[in-house]
Amino acid sequence: MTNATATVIAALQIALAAEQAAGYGYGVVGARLPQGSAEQALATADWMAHVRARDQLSQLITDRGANPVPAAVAYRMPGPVRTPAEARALAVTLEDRVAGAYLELVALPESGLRSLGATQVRAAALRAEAWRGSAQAFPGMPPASLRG
Amino acid sequence: MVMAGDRAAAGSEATGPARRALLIASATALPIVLSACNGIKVLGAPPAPPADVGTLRTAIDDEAELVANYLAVTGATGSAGLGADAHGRMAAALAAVLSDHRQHLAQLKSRLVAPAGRQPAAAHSPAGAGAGSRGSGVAMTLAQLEQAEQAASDRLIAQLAHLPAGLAQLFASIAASEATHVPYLRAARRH
Repeated sequence: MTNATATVIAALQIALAAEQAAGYGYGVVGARLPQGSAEQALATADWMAHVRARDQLSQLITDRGANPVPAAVAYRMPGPVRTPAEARALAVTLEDRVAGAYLELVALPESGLRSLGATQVRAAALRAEAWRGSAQAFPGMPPASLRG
Repeated sequence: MVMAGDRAAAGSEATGPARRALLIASATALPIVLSACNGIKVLGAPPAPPADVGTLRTAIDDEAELVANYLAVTGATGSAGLGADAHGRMAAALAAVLSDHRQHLAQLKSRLVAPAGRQPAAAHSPAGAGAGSRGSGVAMTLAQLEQAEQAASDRLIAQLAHLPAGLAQLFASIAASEATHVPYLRAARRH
């Protein structure tokens, strides 16, 4: 495997790991939202988006001759998730992390993956906006990467 | 000397004068590297900026225009016929979006390294920018602002292909932010 291919695979695995974590996390989000509520339906729709993205990334990794790293059996939550407000906060955290992970794809020279990365950063930011109720100036960007 | 990693030269199939001109152009765009190899000093007019500088300048101008449009709208919303509460909520939402755009503009400008003696790119100054925006000085409607946000987001994503990695990431993040302004403003309108 060339260095360039290894860099692509590494970036795809980072995005895959974020999608797997989001898929697990949305199960927790959905369980803490009122049964049958519009918010729970939103959580289900977002979970499905992450499942589709996970499958797409797995395929992209396989197409390049590598093995997708399997998901963990369980994930530690960033904080307690007992109330609907905490569930919404978890959804925001999951989406912010997914957006950050897809920025790794945007850094690749391959235009198709760059475009996929940007589209998915935008999709994650839109889902985060729905849970957060507000927009962010720089979705996915670590504050340290911003100048000034 | 032609740099092996020079993208424009390496990707070209051109031959004859056109190819030579391309090689010279790309060589003059690398004065520091050449000086280090051969001791050649490049004098005279600064080289034409590479394509990604043009893309960055366009993005800076687009962002400055969005800032100008929001300044024009925030100055005009008093006549929108909204109640006091609704007006307050909408004003807060517009101020939040304007703040995002000012941050976008600052980050984009910080990525532009203008050669000495050149004016910085942004032709629009936020202080007096309202009159220079599209729509002949008439404040855009909220629906038009939402359309402008979506168009700006799409434009940034369409320009990623030839940018350096770090700038592409900034473009993608700003594109995502601008897309989220659409549902954010829609929600502020509904409430």
